[in-house]
Amino acid sequence: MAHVDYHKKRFLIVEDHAEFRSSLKGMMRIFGAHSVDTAINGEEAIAKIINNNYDIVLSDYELGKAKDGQQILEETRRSGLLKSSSIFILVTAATTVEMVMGALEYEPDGYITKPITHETLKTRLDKIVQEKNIFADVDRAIDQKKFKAATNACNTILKEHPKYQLKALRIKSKLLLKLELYEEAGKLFEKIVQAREIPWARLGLGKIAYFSGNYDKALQIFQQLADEDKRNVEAYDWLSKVYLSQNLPDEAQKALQHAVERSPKSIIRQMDLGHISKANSDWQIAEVAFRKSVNLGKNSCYKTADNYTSLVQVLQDRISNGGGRKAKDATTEALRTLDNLEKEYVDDKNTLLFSKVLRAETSCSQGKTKESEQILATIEDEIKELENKLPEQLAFSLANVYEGAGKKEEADQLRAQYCNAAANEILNNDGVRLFKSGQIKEALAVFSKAAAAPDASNSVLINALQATIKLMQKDGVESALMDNCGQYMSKLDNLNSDDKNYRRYQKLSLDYESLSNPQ
Amino acid sequence: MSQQLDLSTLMSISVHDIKNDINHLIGKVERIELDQKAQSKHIPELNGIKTDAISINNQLVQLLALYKADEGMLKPYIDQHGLSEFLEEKAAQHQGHAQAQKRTLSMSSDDTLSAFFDESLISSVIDSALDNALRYSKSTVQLIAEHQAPYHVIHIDDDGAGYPKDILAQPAQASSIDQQSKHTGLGLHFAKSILALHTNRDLKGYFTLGQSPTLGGARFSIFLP
Repeated sequence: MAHVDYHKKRFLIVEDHAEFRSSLKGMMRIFGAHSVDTAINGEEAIAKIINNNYDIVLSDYELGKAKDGQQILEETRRSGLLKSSSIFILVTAATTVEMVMGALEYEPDGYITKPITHETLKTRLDKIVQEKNIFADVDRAIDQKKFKAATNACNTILKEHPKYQLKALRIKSKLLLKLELYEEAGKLFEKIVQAREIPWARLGLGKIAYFSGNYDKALQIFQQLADEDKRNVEAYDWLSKVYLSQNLPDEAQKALQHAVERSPKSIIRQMDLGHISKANSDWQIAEVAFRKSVNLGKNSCYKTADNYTSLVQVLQDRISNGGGRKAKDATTEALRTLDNLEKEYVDDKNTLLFSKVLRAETSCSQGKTKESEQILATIEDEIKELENKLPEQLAFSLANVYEGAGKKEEADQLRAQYCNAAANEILNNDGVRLFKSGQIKEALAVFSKAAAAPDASNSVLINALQATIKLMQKDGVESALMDNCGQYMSKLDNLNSDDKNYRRYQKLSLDYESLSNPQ
Repeated sequence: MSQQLDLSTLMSISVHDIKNDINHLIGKVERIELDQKAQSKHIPELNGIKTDAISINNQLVQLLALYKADEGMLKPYIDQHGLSEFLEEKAAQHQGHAQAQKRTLSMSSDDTLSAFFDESLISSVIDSALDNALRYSKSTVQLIAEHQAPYHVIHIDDDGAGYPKDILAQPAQASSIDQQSKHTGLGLHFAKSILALHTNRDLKGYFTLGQSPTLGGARFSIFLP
């Protein structure tokens, strides 16, 4: 095996067991490593990864009660904190390794099974580093977000290193999905499963069926994968997505509950489950899911105020209807959650406002209408100031407070206004899905319906604009469509330069210009 | 206790606990070894203790995997692996053991070969086979990979006395008792079950026992479809 030089590499060891931690560090020193940091849990690991550029992260899978190694990997890779070119290695017990491995979206660069000796660690590290070197061009391109170039680099590996074929194909397929080249990705998956039954490729075929709107086929593929291997968490995730698209929210919740049962430490799944079960008014499930989201989110890049506010919202049912001890506990938890929320988001005006509304709602649910009104009085001006631009969830809580205070008319009006917004959001999502699958005309029909609403959001308007331009780029300029573009653009005129859609808007304006002045 | 555990569940839990204890033991030996190394000292017995403990650990892992397979809960994770890299790693891991036994352990494989298998399960099969080969060989053990379409084959060859005739005649029954060592045939039984889980379309994995054409001793061959 070729010699690997470790002395310039920066290591992070994540291990909760003190003795193992120090012996791993000792082994690294034997290999010549100079820079070896350690972390005792996921939270510390993520904090260190944020502040340092590690070449190699070696993390135990089991890290006590909080985040496990897989979660560290997912969070740091998804958020780009840990570069593609950095190596992440999971340390697992020999008996859990096959539970950990499989059709996971985020895979480590390698596994090491316990017991670890310096001999096994060295040979494993050497092997993983050498393999990573073969994929260096791919990783570099991914880190630079040059996904097209990354697929080309995969093609080079396919030609020059056939023994890394499957890995190169897997990365390439992910890139093709990212680039929304569904047809090409579909062919790739098909070719793989024709040669050999590989679960991730089969899953890929399901994704392609989903993106092209073929829900029955997608459902059949995901269900079969889930039946074959109950640990295939991703199959359950996708089952849930298909059910949602088919407007079967109860089924979607059940599938997601299964996924969460298998991977309870995945914050994203807990958040999704919270939202689905909340929409289904399954308060018990929603409560547990949001409580876990809040806890898992601490010191995580997925910490959002939404987890706190959602938890308090779903607790309201127990506060008003639970009676006795149950109601009392729920009240205590709601208020404690709001205390924490206000502490964590001390500079966020909208969140603090939402927190006050939730305090009013909590009082209201307890039947303390006077207290509720007193709280409401302190934020009256701020609410007026926001007018029609209240965050949707805040508006729903506020409506409950109004209703509790006997202002039925105001409550209904507020709900109607924001229900429209919610319905519009669903339309928008449908449009996005159609657009991504290349059904531009169909997507445009949906977007223009959503964009016609007087309170259409900027996202809806910009999507409508994009679909219109795309259609004309494909089928030629049409004056009625050009007029529509003009209308969307005048509504978007006041878009702030710090808006997340701003750059997209700029680019579309240029596209619009070149359509109106063809050279 | 209101609930009674059946014996096999109790045993599997105990095996799991013993395995963890062995893991801690290996960790301790490893730490002593590292300390000694840091002081440029060397206690040859330590490596022997570690090798034995690792072998016990491997057997316990196999027992647990067989229990899982029996419950229908064992699902191999099939991926593509370069055979020369895989065997190089296996050879490197057993090098200390080989040196302690005064054996030469080498590997040979065409660098372009790759096969589809569950790395940790097949690794465990090879660990047992290598432990055996190192025990019964006189001086040399070889790991060899080759392509015999539609299979990829890994041979573990040694220059010992070879398998007893009765086992060669009936390898399927080889999982009863090893006459030479009085060992139960756990390794063979494990190999048989694990390889059967390696399927590709109509083909199934399997192993054979034979004679090494080059070294004259035993040859253990793993066939991966």
